[in-house]
Amino acid sequence: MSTATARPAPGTGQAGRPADRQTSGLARAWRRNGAGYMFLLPWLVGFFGLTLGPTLASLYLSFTNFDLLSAPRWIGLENYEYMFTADARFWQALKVTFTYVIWSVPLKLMVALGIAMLLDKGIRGAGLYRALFYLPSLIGASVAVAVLWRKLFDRDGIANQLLALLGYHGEPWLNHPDYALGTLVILAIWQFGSPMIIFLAGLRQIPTDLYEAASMDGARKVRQFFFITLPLLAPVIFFNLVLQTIEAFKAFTQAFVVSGGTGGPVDATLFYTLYLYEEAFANFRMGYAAALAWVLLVIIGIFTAISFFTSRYWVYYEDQRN
Amino acid sequence: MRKLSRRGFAGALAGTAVGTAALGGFARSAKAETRMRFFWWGNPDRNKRTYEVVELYGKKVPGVAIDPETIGWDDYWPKMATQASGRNMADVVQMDYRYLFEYARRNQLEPLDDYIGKGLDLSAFNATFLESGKVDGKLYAVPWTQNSATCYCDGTTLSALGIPLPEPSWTWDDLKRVAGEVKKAGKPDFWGVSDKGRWEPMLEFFMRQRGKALYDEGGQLAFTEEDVADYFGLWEGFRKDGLATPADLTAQDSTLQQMPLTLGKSAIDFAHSNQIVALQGLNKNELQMAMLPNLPGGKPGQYLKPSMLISIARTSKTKPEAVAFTQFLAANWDAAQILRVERGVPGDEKIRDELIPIVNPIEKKMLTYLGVASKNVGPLPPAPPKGAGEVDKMLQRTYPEMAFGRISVKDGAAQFYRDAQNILRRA
Repeated sequence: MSTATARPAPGTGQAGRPADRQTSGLARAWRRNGAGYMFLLPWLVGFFGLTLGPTLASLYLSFTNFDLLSAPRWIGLENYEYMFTADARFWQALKVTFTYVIWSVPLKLMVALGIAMLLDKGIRGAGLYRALFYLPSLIGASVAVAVLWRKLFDRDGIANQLLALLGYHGEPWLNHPDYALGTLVILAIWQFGSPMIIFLAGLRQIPTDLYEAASMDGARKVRQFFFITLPLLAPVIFFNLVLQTIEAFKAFTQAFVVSGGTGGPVDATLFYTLYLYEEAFANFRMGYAAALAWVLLVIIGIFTAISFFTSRYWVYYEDQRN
Repeated sequence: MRKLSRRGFAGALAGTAVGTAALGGFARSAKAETRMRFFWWGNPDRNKRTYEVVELYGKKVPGVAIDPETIGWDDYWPKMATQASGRNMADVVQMDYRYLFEYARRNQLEPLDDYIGKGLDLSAFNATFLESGKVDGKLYAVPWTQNSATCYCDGTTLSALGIPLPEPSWTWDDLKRVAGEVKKAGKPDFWGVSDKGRWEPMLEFFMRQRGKALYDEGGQLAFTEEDVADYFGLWEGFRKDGLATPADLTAQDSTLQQMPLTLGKSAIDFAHSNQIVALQGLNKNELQMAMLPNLPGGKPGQYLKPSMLISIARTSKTKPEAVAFTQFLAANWDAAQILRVERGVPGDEKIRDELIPIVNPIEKKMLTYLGVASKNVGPLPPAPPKGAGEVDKMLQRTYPEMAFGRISVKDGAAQFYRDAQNILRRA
């Protein structure tokens, strides 16, 4: 800043400087923050053009009948009415998605915490293990992993070949309506890497003298876990819970690839997002799909709000005093 | 922050200007020729041939550059609809009979009547076949190629078991008998026939054999709930007797690669006639083509169908060039020698006759088959109504519920019939 005033570049405006004094506050604010806004510009353009704009457009479309080829036609609340009163697949999609969220999120967090605690022990080669455990999350929601899952749990897949060695006759896991969703839950649990890394960072924050004091007083490991680790880790658990819940509600790729885009067999893996996609891009009911998207937004919003509301009763922040 | 001097800034600006100018120059040179897009759904073999034809056209017609775009069938229609919605459809598109009416009636396609004699020469097309490209009396698509449904038999396995290939006049009872003989041979994890009851053409042929149809002219269902219950019951019989593939195999049967026939799980399967080229490529055993089973005393169920058509987008800015390219694809001998019969038998009869002496044994099977089939087919049904695609998907969803034993055939038929009516009402 000082460089410019102390040593003006040659030819800086004879006309410019006196005029500057009289410019409005707005222009001065621009002078002060303009560069910042310019740097923000790409993000702002993206946010307004690619996020906020389409979001509002989809709100409008959710009140229309729109098949992509002809102009949207306003039909008021008809989409929402149909969804809640006449659409059996909507309820099936909700059932599948909730089942998935309720099973996969807690199990995944438990596994993540368990592995994080093992790695926190300071075993040899922890870095390598950390990387290995994190790997599935990196390639997590990718198509390749879903394809791999198909190969593992197919009729003649590796899982069944192993079972055959043990003398069991395996089921066609992914192609059977009773097992398909469970197989996808296992896939989700396997991708515990990112909450694990966050747990690990959280565990490192817990002062070791607390554990030392506790063991001096004769507290066993289990007691230490419930009375030291869990309470002090609560903010991290909360963070992971919210993030993983949202993530689970939005699950799409795995089910899409594994079921060939149909949500089958017999709608057993008809995730909400998959149904939304099918209505939009296979049946060309963009208006209805937009309505579905808004209902999902509200559902995720409610879940997040519940988490935040209950958090005051179980999440303890060290820096807060009563 | 202010370290950047004015001179430095000017320098940077100048640099950008040079860059922009260079880009501009590039854009201009690219503009010197007409560019247009050609979009088709395909498979690896078809794509290879089509790229080759596009390249050949580039060599033959300097000044016109074609950008090829291809994708699988399932993703093709979402992409096409999205592009049409954004007024960004490819200039020349591969069209399907099911979607032709929808796109034509929504003003997305250019009527081609005015180009006939002016760049478009369809004189070698059979007049009846050409009708299949018309909507409300106007030609919106050139019926490029023709196919029909086919019963594919694993010839190697059947002849090893001493089972003769089906005659064109064979019946559903014959299918049952053949599948039973395969079962008797006792090959493990192998079934007589793929459970293809959820294949829409199969349902359609069953209805046509009864003198009915899937849809009438008004776009309503042209069969009764009892008809569909009989149809589901027929396949249930196959499953109960252990003749048809089990439900989980049926559930994943969505592509040529996943067909039980390709997976080596069944001796008899069903697909379209032009798919012999791709299907034989995937199968080690020799495939044989047969007509679908008949109803004794019934009407012919099968028909000859335009397998692929060519349309031009109404939004195209290069219509004369697009017409010329369409002509090249549909009726040029050099193009035909590359494309051959992979998309089906060419609608241009002159091209077809010229191809006959040069086809390979696999392609010859298709030509022979269509020759046999053409003597045993009924008329082309009216184009399916809007929502027909969704009914098809719904059939594929309802059917496994019966195959897995979740619901009875009677309930399945009632559910299917009700849902189909709902879809048509809502479409």
